[in-house]
Amino acid sequence: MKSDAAQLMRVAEEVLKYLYVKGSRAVKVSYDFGDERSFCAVAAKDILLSATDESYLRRVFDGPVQPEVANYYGTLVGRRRDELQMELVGTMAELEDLQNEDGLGVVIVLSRREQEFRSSRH
Amino acid sequence: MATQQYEPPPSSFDDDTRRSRAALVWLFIALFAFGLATTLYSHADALAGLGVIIISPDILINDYVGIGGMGPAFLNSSMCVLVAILLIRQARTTVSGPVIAAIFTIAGFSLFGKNIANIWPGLLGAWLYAHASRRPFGENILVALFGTALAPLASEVAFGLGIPAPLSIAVAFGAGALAGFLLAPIARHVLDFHQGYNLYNIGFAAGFIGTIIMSMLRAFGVPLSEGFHWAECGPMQSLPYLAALFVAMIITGIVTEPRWFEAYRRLLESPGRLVSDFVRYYGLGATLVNMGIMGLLASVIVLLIGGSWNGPVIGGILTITGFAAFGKHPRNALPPMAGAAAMAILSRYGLGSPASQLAVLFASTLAPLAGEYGPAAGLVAGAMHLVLVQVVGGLHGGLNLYNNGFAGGLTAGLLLPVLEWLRQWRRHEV
Repeated sequence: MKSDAAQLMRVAEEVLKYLYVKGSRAVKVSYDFGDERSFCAVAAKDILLSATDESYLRRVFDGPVQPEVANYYGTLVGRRRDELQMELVGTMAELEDLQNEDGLGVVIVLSRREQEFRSSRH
Repeated sequence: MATQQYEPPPSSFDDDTRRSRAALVWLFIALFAFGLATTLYSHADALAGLGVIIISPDILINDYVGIGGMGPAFLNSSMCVLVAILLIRQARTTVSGPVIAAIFTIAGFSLFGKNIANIWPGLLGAWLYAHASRRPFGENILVALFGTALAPLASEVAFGLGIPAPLSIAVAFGAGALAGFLLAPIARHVLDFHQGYNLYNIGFAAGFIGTIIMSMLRAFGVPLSEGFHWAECGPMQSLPYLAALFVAMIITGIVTEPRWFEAYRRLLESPGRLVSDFVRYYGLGATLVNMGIMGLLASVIVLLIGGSWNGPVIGGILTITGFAAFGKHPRNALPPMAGAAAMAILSRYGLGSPASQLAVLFASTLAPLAGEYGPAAGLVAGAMHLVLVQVVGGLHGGLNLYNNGFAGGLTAGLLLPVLEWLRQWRRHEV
């Protein structure tokens, strides 16, 4: 498995945990692994985020991907029961889309670019 | 579980990374200038001191201030910092909290164990690991920079084991590179043990590698060179200069970011667990203020415990200053330091011993435990750290410069499940 794919799964797991903490009990996670860019979408139809929480998520992903941090410390994501690692997640993936609307719920789409990470294709 | 409220830093991350890079260049200039001034601009003295530093085996504790003099020690530190700056520039790495911590750590430990000659094998090993993994070197740059912890291995093989000269250099490079290569996967793996509650994670990984190497050497009856150098220096030579550096950091932080105070107030709420990149989340202004405050605080602690102002102690102060961009602040760092100091006084070790003085400073590696579980947990962690650090050095024979990182990893990893259980028990979750 490509290490980029594994890292994207960790990212999705942490976002899933975030939505669980926010009260969602029906979260759907899906992936699209491409050659150049991989995506994950985390959707929770049963909640809406407050304006503060939405702002928090946007700010977390505001900075650039930091491969040197993601590659070394990325294994910490998704491990802790009582603490979130969203700031670390922000160094590992880019926010493609964040929808937070009545009826739709919350949809968070994240991606990792292969060009930056040049991982094995095996 | 509560989610942290997030406020944006008052400044843009791109601007902050550019300014952080400039700040590291100023660190290099400051170290170089102090080194040059302390040698009274005598090139001959500086070169002679540097020569002594380079050819000395660097098993802990090898105080460069004691063997080469204050000036050459700082010149060596500045050169190692320059190498690190050039490497991050070459790797096009974003300069924020982790990189600042790595550079300050190199600056500090280049006063007692890392030198301009012995850091290269480890860096080569880290580069080889990235190459073999088909990943850019920039992804492994943090492990490479922090991984110079095993630099004494190269010095020991080159100058301490009695191997004939040309062969000894080749063997030293090979051994150092192998250690640097192995460090990358092991460092990632051992994060799981303490889950980010030991800030000096590379020290934890390097401790295991050093233990294996030491065990091999013992198995084949190869003795490590004897040597313990610990200079007794008063504060007057270095403290005014360091204090000026830390005050300059605070002033720079305040001047560059007028809204630093609000960001700093939020920074003080951070538990500090890995990864806490203060530059990214609170801005460079608040981070510089925190670095200056932590540097001054560490200096006051050294004065209070009557520490010697030599290479290792100044190195400890610089390391704390660097990690004030990556997890440490007064609220979470003081409890473990106080716990270590209290245990030193209560135990037979006392505050006068070199290991105790360093342990008090480096106990701040456990700052995240105090940040997450409270000051009492920090005090216990610091006390436990002090007793562990006195004995774990024997395992790796001083080959791992970050002995406190090794002890800190063990302390955090062993305390964490207990603290976690206690928290769940108090919440009636067990």
